[in-house]
Amino acid sequence: MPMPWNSSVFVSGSIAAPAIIITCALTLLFAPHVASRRRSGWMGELALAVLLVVSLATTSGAISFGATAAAAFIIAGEALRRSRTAALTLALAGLALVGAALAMQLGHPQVAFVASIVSFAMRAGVFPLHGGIGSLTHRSLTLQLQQLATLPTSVFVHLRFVDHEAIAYELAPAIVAIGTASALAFALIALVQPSLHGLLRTSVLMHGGMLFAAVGAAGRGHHAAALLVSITLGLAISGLGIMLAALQARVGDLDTLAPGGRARAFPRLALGVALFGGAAVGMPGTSGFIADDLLLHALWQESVPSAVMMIIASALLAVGTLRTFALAFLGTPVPVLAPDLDAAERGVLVVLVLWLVVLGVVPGMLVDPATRLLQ
Amino acid sequence: MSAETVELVMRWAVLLAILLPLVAAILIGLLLMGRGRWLGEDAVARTITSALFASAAASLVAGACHVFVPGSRVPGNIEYGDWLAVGNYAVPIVALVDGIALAFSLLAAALTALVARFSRTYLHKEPGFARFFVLLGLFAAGAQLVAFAGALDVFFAGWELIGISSAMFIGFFHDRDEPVRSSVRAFATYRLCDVGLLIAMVTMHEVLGSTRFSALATAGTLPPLESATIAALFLLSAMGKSAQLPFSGWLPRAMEGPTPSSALFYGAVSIHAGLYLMLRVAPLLAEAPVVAGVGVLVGAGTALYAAAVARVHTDAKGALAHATLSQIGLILAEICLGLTTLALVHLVCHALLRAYQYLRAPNMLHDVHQHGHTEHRAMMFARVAPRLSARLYAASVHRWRLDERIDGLIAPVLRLARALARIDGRLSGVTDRHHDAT
Repeated sequence: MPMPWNSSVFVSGSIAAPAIIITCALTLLFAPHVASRRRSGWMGELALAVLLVVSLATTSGAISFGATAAAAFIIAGEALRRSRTAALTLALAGLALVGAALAMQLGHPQVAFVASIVSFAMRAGVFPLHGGIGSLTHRSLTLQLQQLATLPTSVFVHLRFVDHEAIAYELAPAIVAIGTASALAFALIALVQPSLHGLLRTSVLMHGGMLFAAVGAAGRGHHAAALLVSITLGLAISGLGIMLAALQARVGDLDTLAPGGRARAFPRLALGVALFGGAAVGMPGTSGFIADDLLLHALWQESVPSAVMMIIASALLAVGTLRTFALAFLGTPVPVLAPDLDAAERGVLVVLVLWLVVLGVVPGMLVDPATRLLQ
Repeated sequence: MSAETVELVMRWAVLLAILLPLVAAILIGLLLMGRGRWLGEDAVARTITSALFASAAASLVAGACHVFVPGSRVPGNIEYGDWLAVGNYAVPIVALVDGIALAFSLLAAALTALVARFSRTYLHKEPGFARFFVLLGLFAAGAQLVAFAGALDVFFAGWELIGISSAMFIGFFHDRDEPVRSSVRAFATYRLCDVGLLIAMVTMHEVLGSTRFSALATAGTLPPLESATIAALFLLSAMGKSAQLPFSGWLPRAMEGPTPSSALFYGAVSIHAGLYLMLRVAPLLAEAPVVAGVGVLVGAGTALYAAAVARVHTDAKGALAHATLSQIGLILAEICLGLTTLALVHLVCHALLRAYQYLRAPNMLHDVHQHGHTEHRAMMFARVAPRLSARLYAASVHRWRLDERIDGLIAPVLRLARALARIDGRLSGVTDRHHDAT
């Protein structure tokens, strides 16, 4: 007897993978604006939104990569005033994507694959290329969230146009190994982070390694893992970032935040941080759980040590997350006068959690049409 | 009643046993986050307690279908479709209904419902009253998921729910630093031991083609090394969850939580979840005699350790925790010896007794204060070997320094983490700069 959550019920012709990905990306793009109630500075987001739509809607690989390159350049331009390292990293990633677009236009998809992978290594912050993306967390959280919002689209474009090349199959073990090593390194670093900012930074970079490994494994047909990992990275880490930005607006610099109990003063904020932190480390009921499950099976088929290392990395990040959460929110209460999350922030929290839960409970809604399209 | 009707009733009974507490907990949680002031203690407690009793009733109905309907027993898997299917990889939503599952489900559901009723009075006007009941609902859903799971993926989801709610209960009084530290320690132990379960899950899928428990019936066809590896991974995971040596250090720390949650988690259900996992994978243990032997040693060692520590513990809940642990060790040894029926009976009786003892602990202290302590005479062991006895006493008072030993094992990992953090700091140059995040 089929049950109502059987994925086939939800997969109709009108709900296709690109539509879900672009809706998710647009949610991520505008969520920080809505949460911070910013009335100006929407032009950058609007331009990015148009480029993301173009990159997903077109059937031309060259235009698709060109649009993602333009998105990377826009974020690099914005980053220039905040962090030159981040701007340089994103500009180089953009150049690699331009290379991919040209290669597609000239009929060299294998070159396009290599260029796309290079751009992923930079934008995901794979060790030791992580300086720029890492500094973006400290220098401009908004830009970091923007660049995370563009990642699922980039992954889809990569899977759609260049991932079926022979070189993708051949390079898969190396990419998986690099991504896994990077994820494990940052999970270890997360264990000793003294601040919430440090936790967010290492979480972004650990998931970057995870994403890189997932993109590598996709070279041998594991598309679903790469897609779900990229979307979970976007939703969970963006949610975490938005919550931490809200905390920073209330208590000041998170790097110098004294340990102490703030959960009583900010119960909703604490819950938000806990939910997004949990989703990022595979909490059941969220897309993180399914993403981890799929990724581990994909990695196991490529390399058993990589799968084991990724499992250990995920466990270490979970411990690091709870430890840092406890430092900032639990323990002897500290006096706080600021209010808890306001209506806009609560709205964003609910929407992002809903995305995580829906994709966690009905992953087939995305995975089935995406798999059909990509195969 | 026809077999089809029985199957339909059982299908819904299992589903309701899992979903009712989960839905109630989510509903109350959402209402609390929205307009918390509208919800009084009574409404919260009544909603969750009703859901828990309904879950227990559903579990009972499933049991009745299984046992009492003549000629229409519904053993084995009940399929609910696939959670996810990609190519030849699928995560099935499947319930395994057999005697072991029903015993554990009924035990967990009945005790959770009773503890909820008890807590309504016990925690009256306590800060965090509503949070306690929401966590209780989540835990109940996790316990039912674990009890009925027919595949490891579903089992792991329930297992994680138990772990998360357990850590939150330990840190329930989060205004104090010690419960928070204990909570982080317990969660770290759980999560690091869960690495074993995750690796076992993926390995099982690759070598047996499925993560269903029923696939373990073919474990005999596996090469000895593979079956031993998977069994060892399951044992590692169970050792963490059931606080077996050397991971026993978190259990006395877990007593920082409210007494009803201690009764439910560390007397009755959660602490036995590792043993339930070992009962589920017993066919695999039969194919891995070396791992089974290790399990017997671990169980017996834990029983001896816990018995020694329990005798010298000066606080009631700590002494009870170690008394519980000694029996848990014995049950693990029984399972690893292949005495699964005895182990299941032992598990159920032990859970019932300990739940009662934990709930009665505050009254026991009251009685002791009223009537005074009972004098204990020196054991024969102390008279025969006084020096050895004194050493054992000193070691037990310090709980054999288990925490320090575990910290010593973890220290190199933390040193490596700090070294990597320093390298990272130098590479990115962000650690000593002013940050201007928006």
